[in-house]
Amino acid sequence: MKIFREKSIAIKILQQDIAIPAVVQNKADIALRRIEGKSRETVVHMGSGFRKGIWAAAAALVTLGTVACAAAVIHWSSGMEAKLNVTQEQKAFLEKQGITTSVGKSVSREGVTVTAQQSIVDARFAHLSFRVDGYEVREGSILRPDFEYAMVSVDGVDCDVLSGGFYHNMHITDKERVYTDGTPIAERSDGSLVERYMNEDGSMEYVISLMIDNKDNSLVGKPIRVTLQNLGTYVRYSSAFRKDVEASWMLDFTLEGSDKARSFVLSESLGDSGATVTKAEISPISIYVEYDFPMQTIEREGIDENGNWGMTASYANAPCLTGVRLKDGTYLPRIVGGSTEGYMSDDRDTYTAYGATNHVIHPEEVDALLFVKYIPDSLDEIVEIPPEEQYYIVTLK
Amino acid sequence: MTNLVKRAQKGDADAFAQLVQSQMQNMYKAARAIVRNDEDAADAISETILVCWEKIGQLRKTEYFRTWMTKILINNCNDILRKRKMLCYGDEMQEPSVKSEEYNNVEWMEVLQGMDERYRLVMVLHYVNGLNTVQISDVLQMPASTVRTRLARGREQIASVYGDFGKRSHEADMGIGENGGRYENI
Repeated sequence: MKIFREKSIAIKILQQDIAIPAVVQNKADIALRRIEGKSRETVVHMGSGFRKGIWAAAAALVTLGTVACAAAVIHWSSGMEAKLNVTQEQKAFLEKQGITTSVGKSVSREGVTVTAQQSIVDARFAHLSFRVDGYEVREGSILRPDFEYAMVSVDGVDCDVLSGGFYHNMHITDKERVYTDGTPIAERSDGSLVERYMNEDGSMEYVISLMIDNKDNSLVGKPIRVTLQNLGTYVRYSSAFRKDVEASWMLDFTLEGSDKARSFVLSESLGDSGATVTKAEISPISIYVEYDFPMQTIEREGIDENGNWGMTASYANAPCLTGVRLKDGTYLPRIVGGSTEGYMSDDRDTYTAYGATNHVIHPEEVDALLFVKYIPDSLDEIVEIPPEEQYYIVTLK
Repeated sequence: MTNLVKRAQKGDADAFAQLVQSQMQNMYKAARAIVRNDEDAADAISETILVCWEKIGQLRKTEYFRTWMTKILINNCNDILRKRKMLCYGDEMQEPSVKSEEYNNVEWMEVLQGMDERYRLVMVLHYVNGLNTVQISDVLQMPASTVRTRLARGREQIASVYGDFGKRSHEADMGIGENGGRYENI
């Protein structure tokens, strides 16, 4: 095997990062916004009855008990509100469940202070909000602020960081494009939208979502260490990072939350897929399921984990968990993200899937789980096909 | 990347956006190896983003995402080229001069345009996107031997400009580049 010791100058030039032209960035942004809008539209369209009916009922149930609690301790950050598309009623519900809490731990380095301000935590997932003071990004530039590294460990074990980034304060729906303060979103000369990373008080907000893999453990009550290292900017769509503040902000605190979930023992087969759902756990921010699905090894030509082409062995996937049906008949598909699935142990019969939801769900109002049966050719088709044809529906009893 | 693909397959638009962002450099460079201006590259990429989102549920193996996306992108670029040729009576369009003020972009485009059109795409797919010759032959639907020939010719062309590659081109039979990209069976 021969190894290149020195690359051609021309090849190095071909491989170097270049600036993505504004017209390309802009059209990519538009496509992604359209996708984000479609994704939300699908959920809202199918779930509009739920949002009005069920949460009104939930609010009636919890209002008296939660007002004092909410007023006393929880300050919701804009980024956390956006993360879960949360309404006032849902905030009250989460606060009553004890799933969200204020943190209030700060570390200052090189003139920049990072404060852990809010957490939303269940057994397997956590959303964390950090306030950053002392660092500014000029509004309207194509620079995106970020930490060079974001590392998280829980109880001394490294965690999967599902996502992390500064909140842009943009609220975009089919009906409006506004910043969180209600003012219209500005556009650059090339038509792209201007993110607003800076809050009115000069701070910025960094939001992290993380997941734990161990099904026998829970995040709640565990010590967490979040290490954010080197603050700077990326040019959008480029991997070139400009380090402005070289420092490490290490925050240690305890993950307060609730690992309460509504649990079910089931024996529901998913059509002719060969999978039988045997267990489900539903929390307000995530869903966990187990299937009986003996491993089926598949050999085919493809790329292995080392990037080599040849015969590779993999296993068949069980139908995907995608959402829920509520007791009032409303379908909420495509709400499960940030998930993992597969065989979690040496047991090659038990297949596991779990994911965080992008909406708050009230476990008591869930009537059935939805698993993908049919994949439409387009998003438009989704709203035209009856749910019974799109999903395996597992009723919870 | 595999985790992001799985999340995107379940409808996670944020995960899909992260995937797209991680592939923007590769997509833009591959598109510019085919189409002649940034506007067409923008159209091809935005269409690719939408198609990938709509079809990602049909991708059976998450590890194929990059080659699968590249195939879609190349089809879109070729569609745009075909339309352009219908409008412009054949293959006689002038390449626009490079307008970018970014030094890296100007330099990059000079290297690209220093190669014959037939060699640009295989060179980018191999040296930028990290695809090996078998993968490129799959993506472009051409024999692997043709891919190897085009890579050799592409290297010869840029060697004539930059002078330092020709002597090494013949020994590129198997190896791993400095960035971990594989250089197999060339």
